[in-house]
Amino acid sequence: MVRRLLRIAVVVPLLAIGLGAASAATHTGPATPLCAEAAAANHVGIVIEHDTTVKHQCVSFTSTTILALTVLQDSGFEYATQLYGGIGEAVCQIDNVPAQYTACLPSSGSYWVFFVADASGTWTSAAHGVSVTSLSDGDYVGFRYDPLGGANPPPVAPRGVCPSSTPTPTPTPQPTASASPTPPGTTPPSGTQTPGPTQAGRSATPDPAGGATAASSQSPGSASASGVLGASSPAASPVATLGASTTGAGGGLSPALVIAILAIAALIGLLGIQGLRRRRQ
Amino acid sequence: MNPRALGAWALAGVTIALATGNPVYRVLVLLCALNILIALRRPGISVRGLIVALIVAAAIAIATTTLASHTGVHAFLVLPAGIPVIGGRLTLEAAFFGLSTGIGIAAAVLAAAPLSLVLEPHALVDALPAALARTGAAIGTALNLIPGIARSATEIRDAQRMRGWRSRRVREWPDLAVPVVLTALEGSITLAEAMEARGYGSGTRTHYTADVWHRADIVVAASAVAAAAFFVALRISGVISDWYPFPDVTAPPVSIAGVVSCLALAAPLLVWRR
Repeated sequence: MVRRLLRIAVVVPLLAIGLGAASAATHTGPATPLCAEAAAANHVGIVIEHDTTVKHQCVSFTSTTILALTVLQDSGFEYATQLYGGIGEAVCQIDNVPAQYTACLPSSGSYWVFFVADASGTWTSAAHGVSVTSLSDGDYVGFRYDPLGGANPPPVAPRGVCPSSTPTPTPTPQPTASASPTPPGTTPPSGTQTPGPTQAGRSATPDPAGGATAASSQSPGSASASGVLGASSPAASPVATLGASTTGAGGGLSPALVIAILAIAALIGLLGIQGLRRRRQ
Repeated sequence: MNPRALGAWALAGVTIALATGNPVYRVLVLLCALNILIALRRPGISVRGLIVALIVAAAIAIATTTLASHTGVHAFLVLPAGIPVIGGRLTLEAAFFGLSTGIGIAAAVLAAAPLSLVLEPHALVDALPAALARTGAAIGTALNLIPGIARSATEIRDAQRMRGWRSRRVREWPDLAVPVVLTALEGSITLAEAMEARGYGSGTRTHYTADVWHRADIVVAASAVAAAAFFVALRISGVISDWYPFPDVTAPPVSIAGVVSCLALAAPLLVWRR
């Protein structure tokens, strides 16, 4: 009986820790695009290279800066990330490569190397994860699936991934304008596309370079690959859902936060009363 | 109040303060501990020095994190990239993270502070379990010598000044340091002889007063231990989550159960009186 209780006492916390780790690892998939603004003037190009395959997309946005993670989300490519503390989130899987994995950054084999480039198009290896690297108009993000050890050659040059970064004065709001992709340099801002269900409102332009190996138009459905760690939807983890239900992050003041603020105010008030009482004595 | 009950409370406070990086819970622990410290401290004890030291520690934590960590979306200042370590973007996110760290340090220290500022030193040493009694007595005695050394340093400095000594150069400091060290050695030998003369370490341990557990002490110890255990369980199960301001600062996630377990640390305010 005592041995069984001991066994339960050991197993339950381990299970809980495992669930917590799994919930952190399963934060994946293209989330709600932030770039819903149709006439976005700023662009960031994304280049993805694995084996001999090169894919690119152009993501437009309206804010002054955009996170690399948001670019990855808005590009429509399937992806999975894992949080690595202060470094931010590392990319474990893009476009279902690797098809299966146990460790995001494995001790042997290949992994996704993350590069950034400014408007000049010169790739440099990124110092932080995708969730903390911010980019501005004209920048590029690159991901290359590279074997561990040896040099980390950057992906192919990103030039031409995005149209000229100078915004077109008046984007035409006609939906028909979106249907035909135009060559680089003359492409109107990608926001002129009509957000449809297949594009899920993304403002990513089709690949203007049109390379032989490029397969730029991704359907969001490609993200729902099954049987892959990290490819499930973020809501798949019960622990994550439970945690989220009690949070007040982002969406204004939750009742719990209000209670916490009241408690803090009461304790500060008590301190003040004690101070006044001592002063009187 | 029972020293062991206060010990259990302090351990619970430190556990909660360090179990999460969420500043809301840390602030609650900090305020509970500060209230208890002010309400129950020994007569004549001032907490001002401790509070100033904690403010300085928190300021250092904020400054270090803000200057050294350049991640985050909201930059409020950009230092020239040529400056080593601190050059680059200084972000609000890093400053908030530093603030949260500083609050955590302050909360943990304030939770442990009642052990020295509320209890008499002999009561604390007496409350140690038998296995730790000798070590505790030795550490307690050694710590007790520190204020004595400070006092003797002041006295010796004053005496040397009366003889015309001025501490202008580092080379002259041995004039002060040598007598201070000799006095401290002499004091510790005298203390050791006095303890031996009183039979320290010669036989079974006796107590000046027997520890009595009143109902209030049981309430404090039980509520504190239950609060810490509940909080840790909530943390492991994921109901209480850490707060991380990167890349974009958001309001910390809060759960009512977590707030309640932090507030259970205020129990000594209700049941203990000095």
